[in-house]
Amino acid sequence: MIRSLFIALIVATTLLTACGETEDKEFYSGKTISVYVGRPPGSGADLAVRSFVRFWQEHIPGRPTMVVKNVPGGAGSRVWNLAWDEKNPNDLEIFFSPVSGTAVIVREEGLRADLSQLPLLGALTSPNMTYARTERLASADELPTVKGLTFGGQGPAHRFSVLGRLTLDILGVDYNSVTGFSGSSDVFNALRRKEVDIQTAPLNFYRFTVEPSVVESGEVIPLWYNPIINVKGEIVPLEAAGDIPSFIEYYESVKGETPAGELFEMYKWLLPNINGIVYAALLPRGSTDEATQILTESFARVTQDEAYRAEEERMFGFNLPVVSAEDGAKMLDDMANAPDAVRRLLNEYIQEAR
Amino acid sequence: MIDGMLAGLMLVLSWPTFGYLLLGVFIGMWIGAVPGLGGVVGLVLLLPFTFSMDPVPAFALLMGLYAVTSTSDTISAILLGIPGSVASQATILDGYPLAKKGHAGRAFGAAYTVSALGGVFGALLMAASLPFILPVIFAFGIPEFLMLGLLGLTMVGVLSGSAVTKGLIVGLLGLLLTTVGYAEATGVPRFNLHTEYLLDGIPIIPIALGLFGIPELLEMAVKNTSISRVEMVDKSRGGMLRGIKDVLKYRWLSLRSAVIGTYVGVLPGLGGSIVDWIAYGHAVQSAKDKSKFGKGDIRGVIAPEAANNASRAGALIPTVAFGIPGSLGAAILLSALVIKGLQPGPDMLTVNLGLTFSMIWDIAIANILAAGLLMLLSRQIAKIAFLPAHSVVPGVMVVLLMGAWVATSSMGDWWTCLAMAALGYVMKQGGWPRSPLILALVLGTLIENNFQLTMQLHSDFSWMYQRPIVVIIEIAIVATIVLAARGITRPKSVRERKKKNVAGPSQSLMSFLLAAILLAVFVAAFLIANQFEDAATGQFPLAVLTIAIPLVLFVFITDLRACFSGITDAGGTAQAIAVATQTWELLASARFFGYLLALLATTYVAGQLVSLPLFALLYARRWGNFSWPMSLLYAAASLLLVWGLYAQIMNLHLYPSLLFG
Repeated sequence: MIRSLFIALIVATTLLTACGETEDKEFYSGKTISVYVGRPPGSGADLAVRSFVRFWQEHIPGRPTMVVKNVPGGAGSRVWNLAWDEKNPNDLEIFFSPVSGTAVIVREEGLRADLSQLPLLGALTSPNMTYARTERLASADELPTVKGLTFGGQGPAHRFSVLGRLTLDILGVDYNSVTGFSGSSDVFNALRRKEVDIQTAPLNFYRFTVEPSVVESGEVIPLWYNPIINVKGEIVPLEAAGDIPSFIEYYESVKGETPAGELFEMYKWLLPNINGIVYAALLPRGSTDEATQILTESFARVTQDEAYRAEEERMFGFNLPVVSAEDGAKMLDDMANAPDAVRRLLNEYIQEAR
Repeated sequence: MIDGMLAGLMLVLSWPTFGYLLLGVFIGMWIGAVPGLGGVVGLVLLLPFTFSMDPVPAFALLMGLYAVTSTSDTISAILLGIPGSVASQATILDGYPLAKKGHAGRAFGAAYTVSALGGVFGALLMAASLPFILPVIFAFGIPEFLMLGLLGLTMVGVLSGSAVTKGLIVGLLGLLLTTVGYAEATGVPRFNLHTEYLLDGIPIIPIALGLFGIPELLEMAVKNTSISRVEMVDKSRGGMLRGIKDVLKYRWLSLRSAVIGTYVGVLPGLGGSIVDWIAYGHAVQSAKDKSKFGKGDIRGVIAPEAANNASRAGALIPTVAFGIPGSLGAAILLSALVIKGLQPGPDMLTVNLGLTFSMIWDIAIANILAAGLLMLLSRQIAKIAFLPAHSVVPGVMVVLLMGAWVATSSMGDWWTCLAMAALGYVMKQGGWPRSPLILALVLGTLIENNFQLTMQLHSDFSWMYQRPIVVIIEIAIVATIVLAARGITRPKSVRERKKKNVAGPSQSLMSFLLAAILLAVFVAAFLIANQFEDAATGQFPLAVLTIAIPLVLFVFITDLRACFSGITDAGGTAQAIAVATQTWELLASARFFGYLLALLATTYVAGQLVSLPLFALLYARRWGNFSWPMSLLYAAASLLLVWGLYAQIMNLHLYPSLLFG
């Protein structure tokens, strides 16, 4: 009897200890994590985040429930301000949204948060590229010699407008800049109506919308993609670009020399920053190290998950380049503490388009 | 083509596809009926469930939902005067007066019949238009969009009734409100008062809900009347049948409106937001007897309802066949297409023609199903119009405020809603038309953006006479203005003149107060706009204000004179104020706004899960004189609604209150 009781006591103690250990390890078991996205429901960013989150919850020990909440506003800055203002972090709130690099660098009105001070869990980037109508441009090489082309872009501070104009200016193209379109689709519609000639847009937009409708028919030709440069200054290989050259390769092929000058220096500085990080997942200040580690590791695991990668490929046409938490944090720090000369030059450059 | 159509029909009627279509229709009917929600919210909620489904049933589910939200949003538009979504804003102009007159059943009968007709007709018309629709889409460039926006703006005259000058001022106020936030052309913030909320501009849903919904609820609460001010006129199914007969009587208007809806829906960026206004304007302009519009003319329900359902089909085909989404809802459907591994483009008209036609059939069948189901329910729904005010007001207020919250999930939405409610109340008392504000809000951004882009693309104004479509629209604009001016300047009948003089001193005083406030706002805005550094940032607001200030000054002086005259008639200032206070039911109205302010204050302290049920409890107990058990039951139902629907199902971000974080 005593022996049986003793054995039962040992078994019970072992089980309780094991349960306790499991509970410690699986902090997120039975919990709900809110994921805030700073864009309205149904927007491209919202759908991308929702897709990522479906897989993310499977990779967090304890398999918590993750719910996406939309907090649009402040031209995308409200979500970051919410993270910045969070006074009582509980490790159950993640802020996962597009980062506007130019807004961070030029310190646009509305963005109070210093993103470099918030723990970064991981980030994704989304390559972009430039293409042109062929009506006045028989081949891509002719671009620098054709006069009076029209470049169409979103707001003057939008990264596609900045990168698009910068590359054309570095090449010395004679063009007219028209900014103020509501989105990539709007610019593309204007391009199809022959109102604009050149556009810079996300690579997935090119793959899904531009390529099947006007590239295959010869109405539009791809020119270059703006490369993603990591924190070490290396160009990240981009298989998804296929035969399309990077801007630097394009420049060298048509000009026979390496690009140089003040604008190119700015372009080089901007590439690893505004082009290097597009979707960032951050925690509020004061979040525990344990939670940061669990979520950072699980974020990385999602990006390796074959099922997620397959869905990502269906959504974007390729896998979005992943930015590690460490590299992303450096990029955010570089943007937040951009040299005054870069900030001033970028401000002036944006101002020219207004 | 015929093979493709039949194959598409077979796909939709197969099992389980038809089951998913039914499910989508049920969910869509429910989502559309709740003010503030709509097709886009529904699509976002359902999209993740379709990831693992085959394309045909997945699109049956999505299209079933999307097609019918613009049918069921008619319920709150007709019964409560609250636009259920952007697509039903014009329906309230005549739908709500019909309900007030006891004809809710008739309005529902007409709306659902014509919604089904519009949806089916739009889908078939789009299918038939496939070969030539692309040139039509690309014939409309940026200058054409600008002119279409201006043509839409001429509707202000139609919506202003007898108060055309005031209608113009309200329209200009709406245009000014669209300039709040970042200017699209320059990326410079305007009139945002250094607040984060206003940087993206003011969302339209809280404005519409506040401007139209709350003043009606206030009136019901203060007067303790049901929605219908008369006994039930349409007993049994007679009202519904009368509505159906109305559609048959105005069959050509129904068809013309469906055509307008289909082809305006095709145009990217215009789509569902203005199609109902254009159709409404067409109904008024093409009518011989315009006198009943705005007071409960069934044609004012038929035209927008036919058009907004038809526009869903119109937006679908360019999305699927050419990868050009006509609206945000269409953009989500495009994403769904891509996630399924399908590429929008020529393949959808050849290899996947069956699937494309199945989507068209989804729209057509969903519209018929929704109309049938809603008609079955309509008799019961219409009875809401005869319920006592106090049993309706708190529940509708909770839904209305949460509908406004959906816009950006911030307290700014509620402050906007409350400010617009106050404006709506003052406008109602002062005899100012409210509809032009919504029309201008819909069109303002479109007009400014396309104006700025046109000016960048064209160095001169030759586009105004060199582009045939622009010229045609210009002629339409001039014709509309001339016709409207003839209506204004035509000698008034004795009855009309008498009616105009009914505006007593209280209305003149309220009108004068509003004119004074608007004058101050416009002058302040003009001074601020003059400080903008970039020309493109200030051009549009300055142009609007240059017209608005003289007009409001004119009304200010006219009303001031009317006030003096009213004071003399009343026998002195004190007597006039006493009469006005009584007419406005000022104390009771202030008490109502006091409840709302207390609700907002409680939200800051304890959040919505406390403040909204507490509001329902206090209103039901103190204002409605319900028993404690009934009041507590009402509060519990409100809590369940806010927690269950908005916090759990929709995962809305509720306000992080001081007490509960």
